[in-house]
Amino acid sequence: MYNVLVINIDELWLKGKNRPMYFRAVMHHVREVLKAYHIRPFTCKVEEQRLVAQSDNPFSTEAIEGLLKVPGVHSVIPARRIPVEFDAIMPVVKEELMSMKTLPGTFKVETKRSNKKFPLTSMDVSKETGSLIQHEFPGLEVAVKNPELRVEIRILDRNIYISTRKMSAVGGLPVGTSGHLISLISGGFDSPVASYLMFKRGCYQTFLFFYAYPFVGESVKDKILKLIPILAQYQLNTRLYVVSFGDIQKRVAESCKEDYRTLFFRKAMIQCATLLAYKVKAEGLLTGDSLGQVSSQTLHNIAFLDSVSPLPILRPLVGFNKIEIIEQSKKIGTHDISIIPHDDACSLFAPRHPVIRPNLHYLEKFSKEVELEEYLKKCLLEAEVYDFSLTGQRAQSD
Amino acid sequence: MLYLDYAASSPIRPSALEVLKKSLAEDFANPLSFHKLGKDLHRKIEGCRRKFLEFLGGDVNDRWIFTSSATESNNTFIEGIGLEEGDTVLVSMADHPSVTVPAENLKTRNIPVKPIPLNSRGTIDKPGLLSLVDPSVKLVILTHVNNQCGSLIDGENLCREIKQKGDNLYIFVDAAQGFGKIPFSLKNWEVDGISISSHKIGGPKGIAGLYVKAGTPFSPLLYGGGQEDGLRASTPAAPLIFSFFEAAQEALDSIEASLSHVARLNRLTRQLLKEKIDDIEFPFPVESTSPYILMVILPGISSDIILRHLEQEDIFVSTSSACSSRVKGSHPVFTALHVPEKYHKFILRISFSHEIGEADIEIFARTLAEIYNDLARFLK
Repeated sequence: MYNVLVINIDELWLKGKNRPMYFRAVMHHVREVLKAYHIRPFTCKVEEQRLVAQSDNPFSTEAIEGLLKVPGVHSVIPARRIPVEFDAIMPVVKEELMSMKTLPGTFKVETKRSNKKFPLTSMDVSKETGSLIQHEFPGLEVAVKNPELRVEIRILDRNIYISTRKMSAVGGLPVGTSGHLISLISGGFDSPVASYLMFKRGCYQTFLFFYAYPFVGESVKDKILKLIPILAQYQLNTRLYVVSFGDIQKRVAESCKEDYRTLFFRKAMIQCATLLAYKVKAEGLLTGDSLGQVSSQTLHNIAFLDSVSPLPILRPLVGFNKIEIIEQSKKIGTHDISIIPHDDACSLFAPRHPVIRPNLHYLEKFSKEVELEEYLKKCLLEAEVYDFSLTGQRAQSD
Repeated sequence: MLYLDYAASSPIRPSALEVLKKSLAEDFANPLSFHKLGKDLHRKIEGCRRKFLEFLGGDVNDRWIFTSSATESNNTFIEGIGLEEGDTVLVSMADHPSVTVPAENLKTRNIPVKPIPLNSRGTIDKPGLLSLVDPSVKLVILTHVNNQCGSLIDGENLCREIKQKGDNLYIFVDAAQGFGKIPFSLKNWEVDGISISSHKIGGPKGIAGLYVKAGTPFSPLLYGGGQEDGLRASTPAAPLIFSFFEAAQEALDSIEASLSHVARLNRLTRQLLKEKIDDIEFPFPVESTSPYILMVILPGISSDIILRHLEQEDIFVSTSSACSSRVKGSHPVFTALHVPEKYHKFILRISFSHEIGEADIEIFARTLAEIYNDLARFLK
C-alpha cells in the first residue's frame, strides 16, 4: 500500500559542516535496512533534507519497523505517491480513511508546498481537501488544535505525497558517528537499556558477556543470545564475545578480602573490556550502572573502576531510577527476556557486606599483587564469538 | 564418563539393544494385520504380555497394557477407574509429578485429594494414612520407591491394612523406580494397578507398562483401533515391546545379585563421602531406602553449581527430579519429605546401577569432595 516512505532525519540541523557525513551514514544504514527487509527493487534518494524510499512493491510493516530503529531517523511517514495534480489528492485520502479500522472524530489537513508553480496555495489545498473530506465523511469534524488525524499533503516539484500518519523513530545520531563502544551486557534489565540509549547517541557497539560457568548455568547465556538479537537491530552488524568468567571469579575471590569480591570482579570485567576495546579498535566502554543501585555502584567504587581503564566508561543510566529503566526496557522489547529468572553470577561469591568505601591502599596492593591481565588476554582469545545481522539473525561466527 | 543418574534414565542394555535393532529391521508389519507377518508379531506380543503378568506375579485374567511411558500409565489408571464427585483420593506430595499432577487435576471435578502423611524417614506414616481411609476413599496412590530419596513402602502389610480398613477402594502403585531392582510380587501385594517403565531398567525409551487387576473398572485414555484389548488404541510398538521384555527379563534374572552389589556401592558412597566431607548429610537411612537412590545434602553450595563442576569432570548426577529441576525456592517434594527448606538448594541425587563398580565410587567420592571442599572455602 505504501510505495513511498518519507524518512525524516533527526538533529542534522545541529551539525553544520559535518552534515554530509552524518547524512551519508544514516542513508547507508537506511538502505541496508531496506535491502534486508524489502527484497524487491527500490530507490532511496535525498529530497529536500529527507530520504525518500520508493518501490513499485509496497513496503512491509517489518521494513517500516526496521527503519524506526535506525538511529538518526526522526520519523517515518508511510506515504502514497501521486502526480502533481489537485484532483488526484482526494481519491487517495479517501482510500486511506476507508482503510482505517475506526475513523477518528477530528481531523486537520496540513499542506506544505515547496513547489511554487503549483496553482493553489497551501492554505487553499488544505481548505479544499478539508471540505471534500467532510463531504465524504460527515462524522469527521475539523480541529485546528490537537486533531486526532492529520492528513499531510506535501507538494514537491515532481510528486505529491499524501500521508495520514507519522511514526516516531529512535532519533538521535547515526550509528558509528559517535564512535565504537564495548557494551558490557548481563542478563538483567539495565545493560540492554544502556545499550539502546547509546545507539541513539550514535555509538556502534560490540557486546561482551562474562559467562561465569560453572557457577551459573546455560540459562544465562541463553538469555543473552535472546537479548542481543533485539539490540542488533539498531546497527548494521553486531558481534558478541562470550568470555568464560568462572575461573577468573574464583581466582579473584581467593585472592582478596571477602567484602572486595564484587568490586574486584568488576575490575576484572573492566580490564577485560578494555583489552577487547584495543583489539576491536573501540574507543570507550558502556555499562548499565545506575548510581547507588547496588553497593558496587557508589561514587567511590565508580571512581576506582574508572581508574582501571584509560578509556572513558559511559554510564547512561547513572541518573535513572530502577522503575524508569524497567519502563524503558518494556518500550524496547527487552523486558520480557530480562525478567526470566536466572542464576545470579555471584550467589556463591557475593560478600555479606560489599565494600562501599574501598581502602585505597588495599586497592593498590591488590592491583599490584594479583596479576590478571595475561589471564584475561587468554580468556579473550578463547572467547566464543557470535555474529548477528541487522535483522537480529545469528550468523555463522568465524 | 561416570554416569550416576540411573534414576533419571539408564543406558540401554546390550542385549536389549540387539533385540531392538533386529526387530526394528525385521518386525515392520502391523501386529493387527491378518496376514502371517502380522499374526506372528501379534502372537509374540501376547507372549510378552503374559510374561509381564508373570514377572509381576499377576493372574492370567489380569490385564497388562503396553503404554508409551510410566507417566502415561499413571495418568491412564487415575483417569481410567472412573472416579466420581464425592470420591476421595489419597496421594503423597512426595511422589512423582506424573501421579501428583493428574491427582491434583481431579480437584477441578470436585474429587477431594488428601495428602498421605510421611514420617521423617520419608516413608509412609501408616497410622496416619489408615486414619484417612474412610468410606469415601476410592483410590490410594502409592509409590514403591520414591524417585528423589529412594524411600520404600512395605507393600505387603501396607496394602493389606488399607484394604482391611476400606472396602471398595483401589490401590495403585507407581513402581517405575522399583521394578527390576527391588523384588516384589503381586502374590503378596493386594493392589489393583501398577505402572512400570522400560528405560529405568536398561530398556528403550518410549515403552512402559500398566497392570490392571481383573475386575477393576477401567476405561481407556486413547480410543481408536481397539488395540491392547480395547484398553489403549495405537499400533503396538513391537520392537520396543520385545526390547523392553529382554531388559526386564535380564534385570529380573539378576535382581538379587544386582541389589546386593548396589547396596555395597551405596554404603561405600556414604562411608567415603562422610570421611571426606565433614558437613555432608544423608537425610534418609539405608534401612528404609532403595540402595539404588541416595540423596545427599551438601550445605552451603547450590547443588546446581556442584552439578556443573561434576559435569566438567564428566560425572553426571541429578539436582532434583530431571522433570522438575527448574522449580525455584522451596521444593514441594522435599517439603513433603520433611527436608528442612534451608537445605532444598543443596540436595544432590546420586543413583546407581549394577554397571557401576567400587572403583567408580572411589573416583566419584574423591572428585565430589575436592569440588565441595574447594568451593566451601568461599562460604561466608
